[in-house]
Amino acid sequence: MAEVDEAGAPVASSAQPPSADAPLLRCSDVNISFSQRGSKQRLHAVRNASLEVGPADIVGLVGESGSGKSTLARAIVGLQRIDSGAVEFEGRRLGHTRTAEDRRGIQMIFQDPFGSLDPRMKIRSALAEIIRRHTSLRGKQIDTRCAELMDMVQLPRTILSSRPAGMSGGQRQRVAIARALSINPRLLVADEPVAALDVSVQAGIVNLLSDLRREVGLSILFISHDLSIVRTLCDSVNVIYRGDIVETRPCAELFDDPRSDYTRTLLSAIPRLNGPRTEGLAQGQSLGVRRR
Amino acid sequence: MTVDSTGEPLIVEGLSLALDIGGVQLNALRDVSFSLRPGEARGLVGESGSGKSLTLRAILGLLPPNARITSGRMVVAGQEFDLTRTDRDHRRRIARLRGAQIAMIFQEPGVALNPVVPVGRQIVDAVARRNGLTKRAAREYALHLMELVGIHDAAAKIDAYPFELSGGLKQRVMIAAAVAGEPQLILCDEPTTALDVTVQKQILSLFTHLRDELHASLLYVTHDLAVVAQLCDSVTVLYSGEVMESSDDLRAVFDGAQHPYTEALLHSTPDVDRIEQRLYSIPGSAASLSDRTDGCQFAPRCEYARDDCRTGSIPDTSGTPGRVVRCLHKVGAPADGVPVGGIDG
Repeated sequence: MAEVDEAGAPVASSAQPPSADAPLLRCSDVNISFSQRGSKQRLHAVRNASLEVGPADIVGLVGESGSGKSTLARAIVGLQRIDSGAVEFEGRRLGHTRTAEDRRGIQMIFQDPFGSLDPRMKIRSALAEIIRRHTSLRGKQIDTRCAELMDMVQLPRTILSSRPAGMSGGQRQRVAIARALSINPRLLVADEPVAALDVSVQAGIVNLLSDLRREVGLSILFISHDLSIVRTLCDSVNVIYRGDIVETRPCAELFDDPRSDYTRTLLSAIPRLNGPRTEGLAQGQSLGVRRR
Repeated sequence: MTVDSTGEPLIVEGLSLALDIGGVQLNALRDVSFSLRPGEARGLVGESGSGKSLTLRAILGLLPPNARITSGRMVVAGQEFDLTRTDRDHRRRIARLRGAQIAMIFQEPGVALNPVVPVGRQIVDAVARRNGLTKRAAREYALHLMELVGIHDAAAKIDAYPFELSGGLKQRVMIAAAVAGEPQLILCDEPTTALDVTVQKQILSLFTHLRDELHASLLYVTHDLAVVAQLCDSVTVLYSGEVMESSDDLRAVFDGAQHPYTEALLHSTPDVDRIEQRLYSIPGSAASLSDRTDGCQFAPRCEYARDDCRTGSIPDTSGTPGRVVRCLHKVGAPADGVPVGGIDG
């Protein structure tokens, strides 16, 4: 299991001693910036970000909108160029252009299960397309593999003959996961995979991810704004704020004893089922709306 | 405005609504009832397809053209409305409520605001016209409202266009516009769902503040039970267009849910304060509109369900005033299915 940085303050050190138990994924000092229209200044979306995901680890990446969490995720799967730093996978440094082998190792699922499947394709064809491209399976073997994948994501095999239109959000997200898993990736990057789903359905997806780690040893980088789910699912958490990873800690520690101010703010803002009721603004100042 | 302290600001009774989909009439809401006391905040909770947004739209008279109200009456600030009417006179009466008696805050402030009008003008336009405010007075009032909802440099933001503001600021602008008419009743449709938790926290404080100060009532539609727990006094739980459970006392439901759906929903909601290895997941998924059947809509997914749940309409079995539980085999009831009243702890 990968050791997490000894907490606190922005993680900056890139000189980590090579350990025998090397992480599956290591990002070190990743910088990503964008040009801005009408300005010479570049927007620094991710600054000196370092994080690690070990084998069969589920690591959370938590932040608010605009924090750079999705940008970093896209850089990890090769959808976004980085300015400097390194993304290493299984000890190999990944370049801007990924080989088919690189792509087989890391797969990604997205927030919107409605946008990530071709509406005209039956599920079987959507899966077969990728299996044919990336593996040596042919003909009947593909059918067998598709059935296997449906079992893995806990969907009835009859789904293979349907199209996305007739499916619920939860089913589509399961199909998206099946498609990502079809070529046996070692790492799954999940970008807000349950944010668009109803609570009763999101629980099933969260449990599925947890099962996949246990059963097939899948590593997951789980990106979310929802700390409650992160606490349930993840082993360790990286908190990202305005492009900086401000805290990296094992889950249990982070929730019980947050060290950075931002993490504390974030934790105190979570609405709680059994928490105290929200108070009004400070002071008893009058609104004075009535002015007719 | 005269504050009617005797009457309830909102009563909805027996609201049923059908949607015409491809020439077929499908029941989207069945016999939905609830009411609000002055200053009360009620959470209207449900997952997608539960009919919570349709209920809000029915109150506002803003239903899609394929919707038809088949039964139901409503009382707003002492005025009674037969919701099945569609004539012009009725539509005018409802239209007069909007903005004056009832204000609405939507989920996506970016969509609800006019992109080509400065926000300050959008906040006060309606009120200024109705009350004949001068340009200067209107601008002053807009500034005042913007400060009220916590926009710090209001003077700098008053002439901004919506695209120049962040999501949280836009939602504050929406809230300022909503309270500009001093409404007695504010309807909120997932107003913080699109916002970050730190911004959500500020907006929830703002709602509490406005409620305390204006004594306005809040009907707060959301799928987020934790938000309801933080903000509301009472709660109504909808599933597939029907009220499953309802209580004037929110904690009675959150601490002692009697309907299996409410229990399952609470159980499947992740809670930072509760460490779990596995989340509870409700088996199956909600039936689509065309697959709705007789009996309890939740029965196909319910572990307590028996044959009698699948026929007729399910009565209220709570036996407690201010509480509705539409279930024949309540949580904690004896297994032979004889309903017992008032067992909430």
